[in-house]
Amino acid sequence: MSQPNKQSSPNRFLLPIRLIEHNGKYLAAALADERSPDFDPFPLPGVPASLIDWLRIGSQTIWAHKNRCIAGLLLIHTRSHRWTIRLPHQRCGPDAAQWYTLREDLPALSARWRIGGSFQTKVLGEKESAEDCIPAAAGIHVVQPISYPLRPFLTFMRIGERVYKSPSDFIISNDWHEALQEAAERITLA
Amino acid sequence: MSYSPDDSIKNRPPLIRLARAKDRLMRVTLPKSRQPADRPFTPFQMPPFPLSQHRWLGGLGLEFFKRQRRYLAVLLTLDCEGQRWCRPVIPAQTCGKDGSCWTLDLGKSYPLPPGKRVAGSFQVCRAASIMEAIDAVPVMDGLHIVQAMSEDEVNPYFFLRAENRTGVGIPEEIIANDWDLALQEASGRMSFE
Repeated sequence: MSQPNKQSSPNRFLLPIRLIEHNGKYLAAALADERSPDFDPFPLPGVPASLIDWLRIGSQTIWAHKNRCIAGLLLIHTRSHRWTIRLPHQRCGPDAAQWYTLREDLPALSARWRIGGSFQTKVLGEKESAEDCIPAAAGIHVVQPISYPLRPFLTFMRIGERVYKSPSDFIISNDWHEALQEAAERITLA
Repeated sequence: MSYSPDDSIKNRPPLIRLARAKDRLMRVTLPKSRQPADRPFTPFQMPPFPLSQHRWLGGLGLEFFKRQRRYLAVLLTLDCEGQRWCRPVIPAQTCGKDGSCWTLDLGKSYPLPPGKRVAGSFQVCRAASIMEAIDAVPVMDGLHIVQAMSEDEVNPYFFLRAENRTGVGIPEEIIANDWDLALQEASGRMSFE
């Protein structure tokens, strides 16, 4: 149970990105059928770990209180290349969430924010794999299986029709490390 | 463990002034001594500080301590046009074994994006009690969070500096669980079957 991605109605739905593999890098690009895209392809940055932690903590709280799964959208800004998250329109079920990406649900988002992935909690059946619930939109997708004890989250990339299992340290960035690295030349140790 | 005001810093970021209102709420206003490039803004009630950002800062401070066995300070920033807390900045500082001696020099992070101002600090330091932690609060209006580390405990203390006085902040009045706020905002589009 995951979201339908209606790429053919760009005015009604939030636009996704397209992922292109180029010289070992993954570039975020406009959809192939867009006539005049307002951005050039750029290397897709890792999703900050703090955003994923926020979604994990919140979704576990919801599971603990309501026994329901939820989903979050990972959105990438096509100019600043920064990530943010939003809770989309969704039906939160006991084993999965079904969600929609209607633009009218998130009116404050500018058109520069595009869907770059998703996060979802999911109760996986015996014969079900996490890959099966990755939505059709290209990008970084995180699945947090619901289980006792809680299992680590699983990370995937979708490029076109293909879904790849990706190591989390490849697609999730450690924003503590990045903040300290950025400030390194301003820090002196006494 | 101190803030070292260095007037020689040319690229000092804009600050705020906090004013106590009658109902114990704090209003964010323009400082009296303004810089020419200061963008004016309409005074507003200081928004609650997001719990997730507080946790992130706590984790950052502990990560730095784990790596360097030293204490770190971070500046809190407010978007005075959007009236919300935004991404904190690590200033130039000397990190010691008891605390950090920090400045308002933002290095490459200067200038802050338009409308954003430094509105407080987050510091990790060695302190055994709130009375020791209060010593770390700088003479600068805003919200100041001191993550006090002792032999066996880590305790966050919250202080509000306004009108030349430092007051102790009540966590429940200062921190907001942003998950609750996000769920509230999304409640109209989420159904639980």
